[in-house]
Amino acid sequence: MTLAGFIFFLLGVFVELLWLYDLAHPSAGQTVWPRALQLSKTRPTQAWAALLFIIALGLVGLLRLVGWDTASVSLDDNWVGVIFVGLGLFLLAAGLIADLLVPRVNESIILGVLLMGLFDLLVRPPEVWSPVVWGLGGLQAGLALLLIFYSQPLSLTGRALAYLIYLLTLFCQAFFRPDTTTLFTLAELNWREAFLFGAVFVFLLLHALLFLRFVLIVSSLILPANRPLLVYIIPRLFSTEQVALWRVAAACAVLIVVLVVNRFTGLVADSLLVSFSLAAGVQALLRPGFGRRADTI
Amino acid sequence: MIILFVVAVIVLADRFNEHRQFVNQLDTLGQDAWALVVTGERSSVGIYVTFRDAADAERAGFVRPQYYSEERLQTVKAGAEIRVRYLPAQYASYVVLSDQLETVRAYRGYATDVLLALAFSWLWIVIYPDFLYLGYVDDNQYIWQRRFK
Repeated sequence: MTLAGFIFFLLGVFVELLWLYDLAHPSAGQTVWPRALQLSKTRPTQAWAALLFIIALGLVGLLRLVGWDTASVSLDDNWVGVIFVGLGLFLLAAGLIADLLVPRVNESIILGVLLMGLFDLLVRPPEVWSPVVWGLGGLQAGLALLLIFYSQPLSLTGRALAYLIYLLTLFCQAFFRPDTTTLFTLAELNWREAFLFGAVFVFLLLHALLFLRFVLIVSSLILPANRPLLVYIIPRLFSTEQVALWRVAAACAVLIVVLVVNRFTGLVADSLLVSFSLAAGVQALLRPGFGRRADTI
Repeated sequence: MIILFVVAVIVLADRFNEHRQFVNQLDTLGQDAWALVVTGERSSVGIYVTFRDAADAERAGFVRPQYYSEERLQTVKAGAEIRVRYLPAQYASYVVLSDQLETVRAYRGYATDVLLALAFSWLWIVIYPDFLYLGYVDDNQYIWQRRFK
């Protein structure tokens, strides 16, 4: 990756962190942001994202002036390693011992992610359809059908299992589908791809860590004494508000159109856009202004 | 224990990928040659052999004994000539016995110690799962009371 690309990668990382923090704390603008840091009273997160974008553009402009923008950056460079270790530790803490950045999802958002995951599986099939792939696809399809045709809210255990499959879908997307580590070694990542890669990297890594934590939580329920603890965690992960089914379908349709258009125009790598669509879809559907919420799917 | 579990998963995934990559490279880039077992001694790296590659250059390689049965290893003695599959020098210096590719492919010994760590940490967490809920419980008092009662 070039130095300019790396700056846009970091921009993607920080902007995604801001968005996730904003979604995990819907009232952040009023209560959590210190007064001095509130660039905007109504939209502090967007203001910070815009400021970071301007700073990144300025840095890249400066680098271009001195001819350093095409300098190569690799994970073997010490300063890059330090940034990644710091980021990794931060995400480890955020994913494993806090709920700092984890947005609360609902059944309809899980349905959207499952549909996108299935679409990706069909459009970009794996080289070998192993029993593991069939099993994962079957789980996703089964849960998607259940969420479409079962109109009642799920029970506590049902929500835990649905959330586990949702995280499993994101986990597989992070480590088995797009091969995100390969992306880092590509020298020809353009600024759009570098930005998307940064955002996707944070979103998927955070959810992959949360997946490991949630596997432990669900598997610890084999002891009856642990089952009451589920009451504490599910309300922090699940929102009771729903998005109407047609809005989920509309979001998926828009994302699929974007993917198809990208395939013809070749603006960014296919695999990267699929992963970003998952992240952006979840975050767009969670925005309060996205549309009227219904009580059930 | 949560950290141990996560680290063990990462190590397991890393070893799995490394082994899979090695086997895939043997399939796609590997070439067979006759190799001479130099000492037959099983060092921490493996059993030292020398062979001539396709470019007729003298090369050194190592046979990892953990892939094979004790009976099969009896034939890998000092001075013996064995048929090995090797990779181009920039990939790896490890070689495998040509007639044992399926055994190498099916090898899962790299996971044994990690699976033990995984099982131990998982069992510990199942018995004491309280720390999993840190950050999710507004009133941590409940967790601490439950933990230390």
